[in-house]
Amino acid sequence: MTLQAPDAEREAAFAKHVIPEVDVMFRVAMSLTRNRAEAEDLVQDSLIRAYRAIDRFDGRHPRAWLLTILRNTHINRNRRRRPELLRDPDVEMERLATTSAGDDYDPESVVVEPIFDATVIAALEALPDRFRTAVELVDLAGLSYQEAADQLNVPVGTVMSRLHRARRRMRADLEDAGFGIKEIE
Amino acid sequence: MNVLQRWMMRRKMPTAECVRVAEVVQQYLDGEGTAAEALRVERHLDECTTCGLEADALQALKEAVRRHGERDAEAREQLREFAERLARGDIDPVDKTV
Repeated sequence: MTLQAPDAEREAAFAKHVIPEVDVMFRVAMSLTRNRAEAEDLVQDSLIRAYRAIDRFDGRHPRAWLLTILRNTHINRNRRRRPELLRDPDVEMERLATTSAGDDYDPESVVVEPIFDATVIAALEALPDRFRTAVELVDLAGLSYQEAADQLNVPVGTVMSRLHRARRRMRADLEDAGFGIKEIE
Repeated sequence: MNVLQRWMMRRKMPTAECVRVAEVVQQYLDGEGTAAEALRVERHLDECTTCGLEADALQALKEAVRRHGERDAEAREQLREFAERLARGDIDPVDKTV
């Protein structure tokens, strides 16, 4: 039985290990929930759990620790509220019902080549779940191959393979839309 | 169009080095792989226009996806503030999920 750390230590540990990872937690939560409001809820719940558990954290691999909390919190939330999601391997219909591109549109971020970006994102959204998730974790959330593999509970080789195949499909979509490589002779 | 067709369009054949680099170029762009591999890839991309264009295309794809991830700046800022308030003890961490 461990003694609870004094509040000052708890708060310092939380500030040191957790706050730097909030961005990554949010991006991974977006990949999990496909919905901004749910992602925010999920991250807040996870942060609260992390705060309560920080005295048991050994200080090593904070990102992995936090993403494990995030993943477990997500599973628990779905188990309570939407048990059918855990049994259903294809959550595409859920994603389509809850994603609203209009809500996420931020005019200030669309500065460089907006049509190219929109085409890339459409290609991303069109990917099968396992390919899309690989791209979201590595390119969007900035996880390493190993961190993504841990998050997905698959070997690193699987992450690499899914990334390669996802990118190949996205490039095919881009070429269909007229964004092939410009050959300079 | 696949990679081989792209090569044929340029009326060139990939060299053995092109093939080797193609196998590791995505790892390189993802910041994975060894420093020695990175050096080798960089050197080849400098010398080989076709491989360079290919790498540029992959990089452009990655950057478009990354920009997409930047769009929720406000949500992330609010979550960071939430975390800071938790750290300061300003929030009583009552379990919201009953």
